[in-house]
Amino acid sequence: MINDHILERIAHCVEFGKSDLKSPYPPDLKGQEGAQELTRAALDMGIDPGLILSAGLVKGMERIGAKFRANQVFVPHVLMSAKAMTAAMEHLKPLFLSGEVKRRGTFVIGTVAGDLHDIGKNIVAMMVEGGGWEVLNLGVDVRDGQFMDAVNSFPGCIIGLSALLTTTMVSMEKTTRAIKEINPTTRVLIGGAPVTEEFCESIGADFYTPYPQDAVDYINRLVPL
Amino acid sequence: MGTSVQQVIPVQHKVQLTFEELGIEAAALEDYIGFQPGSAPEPFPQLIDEIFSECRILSAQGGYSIYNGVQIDRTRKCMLVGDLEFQTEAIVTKKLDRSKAVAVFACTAGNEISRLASEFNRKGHSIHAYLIDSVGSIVVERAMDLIQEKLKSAMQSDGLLITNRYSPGYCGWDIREQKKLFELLPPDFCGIRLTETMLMKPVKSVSGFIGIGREVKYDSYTCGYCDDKSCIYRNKR
Repeated sequence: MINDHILERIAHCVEFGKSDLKSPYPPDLKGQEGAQELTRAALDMGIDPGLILSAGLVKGMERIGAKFRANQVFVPHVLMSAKAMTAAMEHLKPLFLSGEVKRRGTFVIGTVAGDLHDIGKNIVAMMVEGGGWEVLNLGVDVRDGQFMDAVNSFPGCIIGLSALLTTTMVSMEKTTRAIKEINPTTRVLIGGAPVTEEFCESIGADFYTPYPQDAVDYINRLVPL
Repeated sequence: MGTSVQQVIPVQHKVQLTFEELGIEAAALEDYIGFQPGSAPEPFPQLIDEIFSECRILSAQGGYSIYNGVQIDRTRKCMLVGDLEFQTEAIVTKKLDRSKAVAVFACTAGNEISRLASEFNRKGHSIHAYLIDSVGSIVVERAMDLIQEKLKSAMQSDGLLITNRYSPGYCGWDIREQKKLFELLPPDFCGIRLTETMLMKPVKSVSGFIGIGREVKYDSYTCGYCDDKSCIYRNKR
């Protein structure tokens, strides 16, 4: 019961972007402990770190992701939640390195060659990390070769491609086919304003969504925590 | 048949506007990122102050060239500017109809703002990066608003009206027509160049056309006119 209570408080802090005691955001949690302190406390109580991750941090990010999908919150809210998640993760990072806590896997994301837009891509990266993944953000204007290097360096990784122009989304086909040639089982997700479900199917990619949380849900179903 | 564009006509109007001259207030950024102006919770007012301090050194550059003898063909949904035919498609063709001239414009917030955003991202300050990226978008649109006002005043003295701004990549107009648009501007105008993928660099840049004529209209633009459901500006928030 006590464990459930603190895990729910952690989830609440991540959902509402309460990073730590000092943070004045959100106004109704001012002066209270945040995700950072509560995660430390949960570890000190002996709660399984994997449970803290799944039932606390990931749960909180799922909730904000769902609200974002429903247009109930905006980018700043998601960024504050991601900040709270990052603050809490500092306590879990040593446990990832030791292997005591396992992440789901590696998610490699980048904006395709010729495109420099990155806001949406970065939000997806944050939310996927919030879903319990190790995220490798390759940045913008990413050539095929960089994605292919990632596939070779991180066996079992999942690839996310982003494009905001009709002229650059065509790169997605070339990149997807190159990735599938190296490893046909590598999952490729695509997103961005001009991208559609039909386009996704036509180029042999595995999943398309305009909503970051749907991308998180899809890859989480592939690898449960 | 129209003005030849073999030789690029010199820009008729070009301006540089400082951040202060642009008159961008915190409320504009609050509104842009989704908060009611004046109601952004802590720490956003402080973050916005920090971002605005970084932005004081910024400036925007932009201008336009006017081409006379434009022909708008509503049947073929295209516009002829000199020897260049633009496939403006149904919405933009309709909105530019009755234009006798067009102002071809371009405007940029410059490279510095993108550099600042990248720097913040590199340091893990994603909220600062998002705010400054948003300021970049506001800067270039505000600069273009001011340039458009100057055009409007200049045309009014000749009894002419102007339309809204229309750009390739919006309202169903193929973004690849940016290439033809840039043929109508001097090379490297305001330091803006077009990549192979039709991206303008610096990224916070805009370009397009404004119709000019005695019978054109400037009206409230709504997303209801356009059937591009995936446009990121349809639901900005």
